[in-house]
Amino acid sequence: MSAPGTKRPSAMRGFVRIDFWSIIMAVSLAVIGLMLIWPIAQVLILGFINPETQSFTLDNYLKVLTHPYYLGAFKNTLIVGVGGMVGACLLGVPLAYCTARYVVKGRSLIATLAVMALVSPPFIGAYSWIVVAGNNGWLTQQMKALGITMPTIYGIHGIILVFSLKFFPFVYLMTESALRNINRSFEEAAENLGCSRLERLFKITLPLVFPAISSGAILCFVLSIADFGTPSIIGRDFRTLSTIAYNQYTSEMGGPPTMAVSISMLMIAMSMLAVLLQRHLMGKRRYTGSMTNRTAPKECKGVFGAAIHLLSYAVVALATLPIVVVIYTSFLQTSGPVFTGGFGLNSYARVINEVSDVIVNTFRFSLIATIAITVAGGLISYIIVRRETPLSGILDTVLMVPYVVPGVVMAIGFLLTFNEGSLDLMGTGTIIVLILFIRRLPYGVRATSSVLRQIKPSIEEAAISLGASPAKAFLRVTVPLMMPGIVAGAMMSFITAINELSSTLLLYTARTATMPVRIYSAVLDGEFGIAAALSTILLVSSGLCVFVVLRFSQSKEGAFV
Amino acid sequence: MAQVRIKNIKKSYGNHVALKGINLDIDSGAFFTLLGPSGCGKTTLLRAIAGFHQQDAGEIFVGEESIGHLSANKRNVGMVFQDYAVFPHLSVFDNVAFGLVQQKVPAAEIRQRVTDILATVQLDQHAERMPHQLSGGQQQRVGLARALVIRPKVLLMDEPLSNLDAKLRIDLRRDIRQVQQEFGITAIYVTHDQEEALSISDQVCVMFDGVAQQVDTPWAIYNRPENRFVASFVGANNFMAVDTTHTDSAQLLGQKFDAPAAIRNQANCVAAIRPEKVLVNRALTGNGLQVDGTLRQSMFTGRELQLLVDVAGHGVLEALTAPNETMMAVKIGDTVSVGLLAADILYYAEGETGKLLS
Ligand SMILES: Nc1ncnc2c1ncn2[C@@H]1O[C@H](COP(=O)(O)OP(=O)(O)OP(=O)(O)O)[C@@H](O)[C@H]1O
Ligand SMILES: [Mg+2]
Repeated sequence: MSAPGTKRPSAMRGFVRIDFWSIIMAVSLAVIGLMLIWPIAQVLILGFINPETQSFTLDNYLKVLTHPYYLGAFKNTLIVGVGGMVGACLLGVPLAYCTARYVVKGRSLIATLAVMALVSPPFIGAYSWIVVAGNNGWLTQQMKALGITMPTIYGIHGIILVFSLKFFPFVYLMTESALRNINRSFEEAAENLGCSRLERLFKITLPLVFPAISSGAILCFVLSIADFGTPSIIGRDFRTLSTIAYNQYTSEMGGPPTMAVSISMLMIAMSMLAVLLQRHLMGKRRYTGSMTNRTAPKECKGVFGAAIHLLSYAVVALATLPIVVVIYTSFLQTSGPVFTGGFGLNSYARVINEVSDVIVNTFRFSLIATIAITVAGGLISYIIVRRETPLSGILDTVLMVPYVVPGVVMAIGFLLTFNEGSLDLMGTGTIIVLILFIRRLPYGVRATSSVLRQIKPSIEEAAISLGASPAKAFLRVTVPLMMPGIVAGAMMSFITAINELSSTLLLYTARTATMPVRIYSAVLDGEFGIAAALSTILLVSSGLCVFVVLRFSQSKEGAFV
Repeated sequence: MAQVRIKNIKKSYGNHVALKGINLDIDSGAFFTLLGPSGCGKTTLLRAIAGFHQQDAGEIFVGEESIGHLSANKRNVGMVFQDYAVFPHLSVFDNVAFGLVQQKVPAAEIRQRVTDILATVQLDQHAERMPHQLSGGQQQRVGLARALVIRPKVLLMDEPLSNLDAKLRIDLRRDIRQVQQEFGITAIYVTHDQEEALSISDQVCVMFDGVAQQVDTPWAIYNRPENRFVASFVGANNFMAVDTTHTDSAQLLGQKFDAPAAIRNQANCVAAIRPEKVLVNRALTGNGLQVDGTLRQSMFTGRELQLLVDVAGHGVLEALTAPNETMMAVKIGDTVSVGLLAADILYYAEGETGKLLS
């Protein structure tokens, strides 16, 4: 592995730098080009082609932007995106303020529960709320007995409720750490200049944490508009762009998926606009926090203290309700799809007898993808952080792309790319591993690069000056120091990989189905027992990973955002 | 422009007592400095005056008004922070206008007052800049302007210059003093830099271990330290054991000398003399004592010459003299004479904060 270039005189090296890292750079760019840029370019181009005549046309995009069917879905997507975002902020910001500024007993429990809500499978929220408040839901029945008719959970408000409760931890975790980092002097200066506590909150504190709130909020927006499982389970007739893109694709089977890709581009455009808008709003507003001069959380007694605790625990209790429901349901006795009352393990028995291959698939694909992400993520973050060249800048920017490309869109791109010749991967496990890899690679890179930035380059230079080759210096000195970040990143990749639905749903075949795919179809078929048992397995696996991260990562809950 | 009285302020953190009953009377319009080593309670006292935390006991008066029970936003005392605390999301102008907006001053007047004060602190060119576009010194000028523009009765400053480099520190300290005198405002200033404290203040309070050790003019603090701590903390000092075991007369550096009445019955005490008062190879011009020693070290700093002289059996004395060629010619290891004038020697009781005996 050690590069031939290292033995040449340094004057030559400046001229042709073919060392270890240049090779890594070239390979990374090639892989990203093939697996990220090319599929998305295919999606973009296909939208400009008339499926009958194969000629260039703007009609497809115009149709998406003018036809009431698409416009309706566009409007709905915007509503759930903004709704999910606002809901997440309304839950996340006050919770962050409570736990950052007041002594809340069990603060780490609250943070852990929030993280669990974040890493639970994407659609169990929708499914659990149906179990609780759907037509035959437990709460609906109780209320009916009291003569009260519950408003229906299906449709737009159900989606927004689920999104808010699912995504608020992003806002919460980011805002909380920003609040903790504010230099105490700012708030004291405001008070000294005549601000009451409330004025101070709106004039100083919230503006200072605005960058954190808005990053969290935009993440919620992007994830809300990309989500597929929730609207398709709880939305009923309420269609969003991701559900119609999926439906279009499955109904266009055979012909070119022209309309599906046109819708896809609209979704990418929405996410990108949102991200750009947030960047623009933030402008130069990046405030450095203070490591030492921080506000200590205040002790609160009496009614106010009780209210703070009640609010904090109510939010995380609501957010973790789906987890409780799923685990509870999984232990109910069933006969076929019907719950027969009482407890039992036969949902698990059925899972093991009927769908054990799905479990094996999920862990196998996810494990391979995680290893690939971890290795590639470590190497790429090294290039980005330590080798600042124009090419590494490009790499850094291109890696932003998966953040704004919804899973459904990425899957359509893959279907267009890997369908013929030597690239034919249709129906294989490989294509699933690859999409998990490319979709989560940026998160892996971010986890490791943030640790890497804190390691002084001089440590590695010392190793090189003592005679180690650059590759060896990296492996022997830097990698061990990066280990906490690498472990946290790997756990996060694994969690997201085992829970991935929106992209795999278009790529799976009977042989390559994964747990989330199977849960999704089980929910649609009303097989709640199997769905709950599989979800519980996913939850426990995710929970174990969370435990590892909390145990080994210095930034604790911060590792999840 | 008000007198400040601090009555018996006490404050503990858990079982650590940070302030052990502080009493201060600060004249209207005075520049009053709290000087002391790290951890002696300066910040704790200043924050109690600002109202950022409540003292356990004691009262604070500004003029005739007791402010000890008011919340921080009602006290109308200006504060300049060590870390500037210039709001990063507001422009220089808006930072300075912040307190006036709080007081609901009409917009036109705000514009006028902010413009004026920015001119005073030489920032009129930078009104529209954002804080991150300013240097540390400029940010602290914003902090000063922001505190002054609300015309507070008292101006509090907690080590406002300690994050700046040496040259800037001296420039800005002149400006602070000038603006303070111009406005005639009562200022309470915290520092652990003794030169800064002496040069800028009307009155200095030396603090140690939560107690005000001495409150006096800079001249008196330096020339008549009231206890041993003040004598050792402010400026350099040579401390020498005084031997009072001999019945006929006391001994210093192994020499008999005419001990002043105040130490005659004192069992244990120390004598102190400033290095610049130690006479090396010079004749005594008055009552005092002279002894031989060995030159151990000689350091020429340009303005002065620092000498370390070992007086056998009595330790090493530090001396500061004006450099001249004869002194420079003396070599390490040579014997030199050391002379102390009785009038330059102060005596202290034993212990870290032993009293001045006179
Ligand atoms: N919030 C706190 N909790 C516990 N102890 C504290 C707290 N703040 C200060 N102390 C202690 O009180 C004492 C006085 O602290 P203070 O900050 O007033 O010192 P200072 O004189 O300002 O020191 P410095 O020159 O380092 O700023 C110190 O011993 C410090 O450790
Ligand atoms: Mg201090």
